[in-house]
Amino acid sequence: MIPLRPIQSIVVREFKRFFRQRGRLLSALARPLLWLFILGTGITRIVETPAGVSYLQFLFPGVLGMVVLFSSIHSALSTVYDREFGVMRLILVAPISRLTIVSAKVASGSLLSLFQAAILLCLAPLIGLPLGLGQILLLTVYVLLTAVAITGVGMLLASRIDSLENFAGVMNFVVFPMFFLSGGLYPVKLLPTAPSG
Amino acid sequence: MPAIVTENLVKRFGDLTAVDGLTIEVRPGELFAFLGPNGAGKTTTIHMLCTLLRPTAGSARVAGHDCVKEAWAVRRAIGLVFQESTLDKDLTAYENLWFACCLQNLTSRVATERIAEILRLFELTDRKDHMTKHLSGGLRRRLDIARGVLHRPRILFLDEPTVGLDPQARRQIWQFLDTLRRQEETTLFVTTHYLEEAETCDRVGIIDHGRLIALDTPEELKQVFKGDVVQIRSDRLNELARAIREEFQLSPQVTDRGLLLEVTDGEAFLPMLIRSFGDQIAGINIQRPSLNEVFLHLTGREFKP
Repeated sequence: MIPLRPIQSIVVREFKRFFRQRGRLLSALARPLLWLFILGTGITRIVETPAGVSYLQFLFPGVLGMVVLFSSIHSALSTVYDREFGVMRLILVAPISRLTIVSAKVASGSLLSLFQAAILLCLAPLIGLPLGLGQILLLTVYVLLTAVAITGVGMLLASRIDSLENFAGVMNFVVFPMFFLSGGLYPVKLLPTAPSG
Repeated sequence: MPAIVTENLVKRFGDLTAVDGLTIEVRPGELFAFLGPNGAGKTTTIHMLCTLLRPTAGSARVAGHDCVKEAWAVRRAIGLVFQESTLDKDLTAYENLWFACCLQNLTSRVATERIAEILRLFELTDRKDHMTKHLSGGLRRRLDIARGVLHRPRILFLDEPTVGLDPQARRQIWQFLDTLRRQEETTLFVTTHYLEEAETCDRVGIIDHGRLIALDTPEELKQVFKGDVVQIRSDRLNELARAIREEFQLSPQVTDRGLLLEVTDGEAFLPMLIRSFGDQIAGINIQRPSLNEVFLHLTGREFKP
């Protein structure tokens, strides 16, 4: 039997924390806007895009991906915080399996990502991307799959990281390279190929 | 069935042996104190008993279940209050309790009733909606303990429950533990480095460098001293110690607190002492032996947290 209550309570706790930590909440909401409207608008003026697609429109899915990436990693790394400040010990000594704990953590991270992606999605019509219901449903599935995968990777990292200080390392060597190589900012096929032989 | 049994329990971290062949038995309903200086192996022992650490060797059974093979069953039977608070500071007192109930898979109805009951017992009802980060150290500690007993554990482990609290808050914590014990018949396994706290427990295990060096009731432990402890202040401790040894065939110990002497009848001994060495003595104090003297006697050094 799946222990639903423990999982649910871990998810609810993550959401409460998200909304109560003002700094985290605000930066999570502001980050995509900065990328879209400051970086995006600036770059629009110096790049040429195929007719009918503005750079902002090209950038939008990339920023959506970025939101999921940052949020999922951040949630997973909150595990490190929990371990440092003790809450994880409480969870570990409770009569629930380790698998349940990891599942609950991945579920919280993924749902938080989905929530933030949904907010960003509301801006799509503003930049000339009207989305149909089918597209939104499909997007939800994609976002959720991506979020689960990235939170999973984040949990793997979190289990190897012993302090919050190493967070910066993860940002520099995992998150940013992933984002820059994702094709979210420019088409990946423009990158030079690796020398063969 | 004993509440806790360990046999030759060992935990090594690399070259360091944190717990070295520990064998103890704790009876149901007992208030058992585990006393030792910092780094003696108290926390490591608790973590092994609570299934958070795997022993290097030996065995431990808690509530009749093996701590390694039946970790799951052990976790159901125990509550644990950690040395450092494990409360979520971004949640209110009530939310912290609710979270713990959910982790224990209690139903909403049971959880609601039980939280109300525990809030009353720990006199926290009027604080329930306060953010945990705004509570004082003493209140937070109470909340930590309250949370540990929500699921009515048969055995509650408390790792230094009063460390860092002022004397008044410490007394209060012990009153709550006493009430808890009487009302719910919980076995309490408490580590402490406050000697006076251990004095009030049913039995005391003294641990030093990972080894159990004594295990008995506080009264029995103090029986190794036939009489009183005389504490002498002087400028010339070493000379005085030598002189007393020759004169009275006693073995005084030189410590930070002065010279310590065990004598059968302190009051009768004093006049003799003063007659012989009065001019070298700056002050005298007679005490009934405390656990401090027991520790000094067993290890040859003062008990320092």
